[in-house]
Amino acid sequence: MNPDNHNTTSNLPKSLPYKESDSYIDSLVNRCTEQALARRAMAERSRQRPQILRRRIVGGVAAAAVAGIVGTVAWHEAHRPSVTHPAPDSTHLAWQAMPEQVAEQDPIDALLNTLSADELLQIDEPCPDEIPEY
Amino acid sequence: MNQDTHITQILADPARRDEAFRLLMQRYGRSLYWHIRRIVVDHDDAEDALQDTAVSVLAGLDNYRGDSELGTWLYRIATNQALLMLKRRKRWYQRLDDLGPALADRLPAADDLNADQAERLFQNALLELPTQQRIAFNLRYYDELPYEQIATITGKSVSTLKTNYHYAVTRIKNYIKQHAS
Repeated sequence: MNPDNHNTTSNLPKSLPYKESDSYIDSLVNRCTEQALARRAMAERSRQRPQILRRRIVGGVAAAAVAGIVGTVAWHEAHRPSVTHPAPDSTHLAWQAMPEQVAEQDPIDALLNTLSADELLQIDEPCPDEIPEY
Repeated sequence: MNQDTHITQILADPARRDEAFRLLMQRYGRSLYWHIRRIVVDHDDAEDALQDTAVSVLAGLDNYRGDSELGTWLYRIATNQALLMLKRRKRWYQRLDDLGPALADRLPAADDLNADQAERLFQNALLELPTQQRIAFNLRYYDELPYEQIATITGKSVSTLKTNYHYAVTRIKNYIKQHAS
């Protein structure tokens, strides 16, 4: 007993007017302890869930963006007008030999271009006298 | 090595925080419950305040630096939770110190008492005290804590506590004399 209490409170009751037993209180304390731990574990799981969700959303958006870019490039590649195989008489491309291109022609082609259609046919027909015997 | 030193050593290891928390509650849980119960009187309120105390202690363990003793730190948290509970129970126009009669009504009915009429009278007298004075009286009278520790728990000076304690004892004795049949 506290010596300071002796002269002032010695005739006052020390017990409390409550019925709860020590074992009941100990059980209550254990329950509060485990509930506090469980509550903290649940709070930590709740904190992690938005982070996981955020990562998934960001990943999904990034994947969609990459797929979109690849798809757009592929579409443009597929629909790009070709400049390597123009139709010879295509007015769209205005395919016409330019003077510079004529100047660069083979000399034999340049000669053939000066001949008429009959003269070209005569060149193609072999001369019977010139066919060698094998 | 005393138990508090042992628990403090375990606390230093973050991986053993839960173990330290369980040991703390085992060691102080019963005392904390009765400290809270003496403030709030009602068992259900005491149970809720004890649960809130456990949650606060667990949350505060990461930041506990050993500036005060473990027991003192726990009692301070429990006192704050008990006062919060009283504030939840009072009406907006009531002061905490006006709750005495309402709290006295929450004492167990006379037929259910384990104690005699003198104990009930004593509890009624206690509940007439201003709340902070009652808390300081409880810590000194029931828990037999030194004034220095009570000063850390309540935030009052040692000299104020000694004066208040003497004043509380006088009021209680006068109340019992007046109401004893």
